[in-house]
Amino acid sequence: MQQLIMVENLHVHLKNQGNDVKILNGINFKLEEGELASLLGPSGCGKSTLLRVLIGLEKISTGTIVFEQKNIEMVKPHKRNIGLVFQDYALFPHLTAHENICIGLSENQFNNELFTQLVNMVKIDEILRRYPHELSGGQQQRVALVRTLIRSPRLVLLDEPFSGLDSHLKEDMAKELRMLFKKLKTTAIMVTHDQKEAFSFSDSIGIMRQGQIVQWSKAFDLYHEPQNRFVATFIGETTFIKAKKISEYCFYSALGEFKIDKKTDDGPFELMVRPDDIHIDGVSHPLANDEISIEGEIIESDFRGAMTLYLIQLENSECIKSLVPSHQKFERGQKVSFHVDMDRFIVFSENDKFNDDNLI
Amino acid sequence: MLVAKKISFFVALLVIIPMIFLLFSFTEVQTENWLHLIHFQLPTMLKSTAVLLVGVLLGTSLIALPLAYFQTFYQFPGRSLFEVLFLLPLAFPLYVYAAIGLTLFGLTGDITLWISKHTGLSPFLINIKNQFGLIQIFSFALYPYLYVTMREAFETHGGKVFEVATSLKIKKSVAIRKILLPITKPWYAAGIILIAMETLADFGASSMFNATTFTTGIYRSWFGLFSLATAEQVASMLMIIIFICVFFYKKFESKKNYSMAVKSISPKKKKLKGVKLVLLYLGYAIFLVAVVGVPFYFLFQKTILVLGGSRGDDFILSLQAPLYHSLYLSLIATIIILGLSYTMAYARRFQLKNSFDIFWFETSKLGYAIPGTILAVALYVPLNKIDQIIFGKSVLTFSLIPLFLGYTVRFVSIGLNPLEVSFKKLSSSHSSQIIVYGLSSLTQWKKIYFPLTVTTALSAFFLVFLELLKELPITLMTRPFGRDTLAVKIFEYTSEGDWDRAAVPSFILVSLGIVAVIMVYLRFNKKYS
Repeated sequence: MQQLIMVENLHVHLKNQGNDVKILNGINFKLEEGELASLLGPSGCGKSTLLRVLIGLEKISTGTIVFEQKNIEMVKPHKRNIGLVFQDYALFPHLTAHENICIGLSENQFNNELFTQLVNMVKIDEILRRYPHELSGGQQQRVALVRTLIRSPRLVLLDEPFSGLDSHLKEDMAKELRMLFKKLKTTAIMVTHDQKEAFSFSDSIGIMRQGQIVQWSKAFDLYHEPQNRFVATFIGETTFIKAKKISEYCFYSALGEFKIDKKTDDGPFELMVRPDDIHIDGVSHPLANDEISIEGEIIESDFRGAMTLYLIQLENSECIKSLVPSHQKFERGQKVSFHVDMDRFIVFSENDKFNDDNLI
Repeated sequence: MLVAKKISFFVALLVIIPMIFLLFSFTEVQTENWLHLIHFQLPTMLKSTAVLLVGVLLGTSLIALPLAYFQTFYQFPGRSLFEVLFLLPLAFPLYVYAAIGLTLFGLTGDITLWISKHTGLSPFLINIKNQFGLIQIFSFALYPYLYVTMREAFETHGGKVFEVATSLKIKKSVAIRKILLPITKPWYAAGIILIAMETLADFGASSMFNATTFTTGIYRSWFGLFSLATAEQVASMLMIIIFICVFFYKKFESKKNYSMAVKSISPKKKKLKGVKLVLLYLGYAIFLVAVVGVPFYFLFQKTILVLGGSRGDDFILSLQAPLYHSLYLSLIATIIILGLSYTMAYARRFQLKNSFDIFWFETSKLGYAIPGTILAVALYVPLNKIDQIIFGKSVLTFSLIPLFLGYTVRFVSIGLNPLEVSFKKLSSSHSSQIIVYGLSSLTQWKKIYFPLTVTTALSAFFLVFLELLKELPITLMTRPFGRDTLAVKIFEYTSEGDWDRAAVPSFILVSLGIVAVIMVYLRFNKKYS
């Protein structure tokens, strides 16, 4: 696959009440044609600004954006061949859905075949004569999407496109959108703070924090191989317990002795424990020969439909979480024994936690 | 299009410069005139202005609050029709109401004499040419300002209030007293302060009732004591009172946003049936007959009478010029004002970013708070100085310039406010979208700005046109010779006690006004549909 966009060492400073504020602080990533990516991060981390910079609505302070093998810093927004779907959809209130889609397109630019294809694909053929206030949030979003796609951009940027929709609709819409883009072979970057949306939509995800991309990986790797404590905390459920280095690759914690395959700096250390790596005995996982059973007390439960998340207090008062099929019920105060998948353990230096805290 | 920004500054300067000239008038105090004012007029002026204010605020509240309540919370056949009927007093200039009131209920009024003849009551007891009568006239003419703001308040907050009250098992009467009325205070204050400003600004009605208010005081100082300086000084005092009103108006306007933090739900309207419905219709009918029916019929009947008389044809011919002046002066001024308002609203949305620019913009809207009498004085003074310095004779002061400047300063905010809201419909995302699609300026105007604002611009046009048709003090005090308007004619005839003749221009003016009110209403109604 051919590379479509490459962002290198991008810095953006914006003026806020006369002060120069760093919004983006050394962004780097690449995207291939047809790839679907998400930028995931907490509010105010610079995700939306990054989209505005890519399309040319904000100026670059330093760094380069190479798009279609050209540096596009000086290219005007409407000449960049990039489309943007705004968070509030930005449909013009006095124009019908059809007029909104066609705004600014001359007869020569209007591709009737593509229009029919898109309208049928996103099922808005019956609402084209309606005004934005007569449309639901989902319908407005589809109209905004068609308005962007009808211009055949090489790259589509989506700024929190599902934020106005009901929670049960979000994942469905994300999947639907993924299918549509894959069908059209369109490259897209979606900004969101909802990890489920990002997982459903993307091939790869960039986790953003304080104007930086702290990890760019596939969803599976973000969960199972987070590169720092922030990513580990931001993606999925996790708990940390203290770990002591015994030798170069060997550690000891309240869950017992374990080995890791990466070299670490000097401690103190923390062990990241995912709830799906903790198996309460007798529930689903028969003990293998080399597994050791550990004891703890259930102190809290959080019912989540198919699964229940239990908080287990260890003998040294540290806590871990375990995700258990919900038909297996345990009571608060109940003593349980459990075993762990030690080969999936990841260790972080406590200095990493210190750095994270400073960033918050 | 940065010229739009400059126009904002220009209009703000038009508001500020006359005010500065007024304040500087205190450098030459004419002791004799002031002694006369202090001994004979100022105490009465202060007292009667205060009594008038309190009375009108009470009167308009007693009318507007129940009407807004019934219109918001009850459903009955003809409710929408009443909505427009309750706005019709806006078509009647205050001085026309005053003239009708005096013709019917004055000492020698038609109804006064009829009642006196049949009941033996002294005409002095029925005569409304007193402070109480003036308060009634003001209340009938000005209540729509409060009615409109309270309708908005009840419509946006009433639903939530009664839902919460029901869930907490609070009685309806308690909910109204303890929740609904306190929560809608900012709207009430905004409406009532608008009425206070209109009351303080009135000149025609007060002078017909021989009331000694600030505005009549200014007029008398200028044309009675022949002292422009004293008139300026009285005007400055009134201006200070008005700006205190503006300060509180702005304060309550900003609180509206605070109250609006609650998501509004439209109130459920209770269906009225049986006796209650009959009683409501009866109440509405009596009220509408009093405030709209009788005045309109009176004007119509007098018009027929005058025009059917021996010199009716001559009279109608004599009104052709004032009608023409009213229409063309109002039309030209409306076009100027709308052009300025449109440009300024555009500038506010896309160009005015820093607080300094916004301060100028907001200042340009203060003109509406300045009574016409003050503006006339305040604009005349600098123009007179320019005349003396440049021409050595009255050139600018004898032209239409003071008139159009006065109209612009006073009424630009009426056009500007709705257009500003209309342009605000375009969010920052819309602006970005326009950039991303690279729409040309022509396309932007043709496809976006113009279609988006055209309906509002039209209703703003009718609003401004209506106000200009009714305008009296600026026209009376600054019009060039031979440019009498219908409003001026009404004032002249009523000053001479010729009520019958005054009815004909009034009828024409009110009929034009009713058309304008209906046009404006169509948009108001849309808001709640």
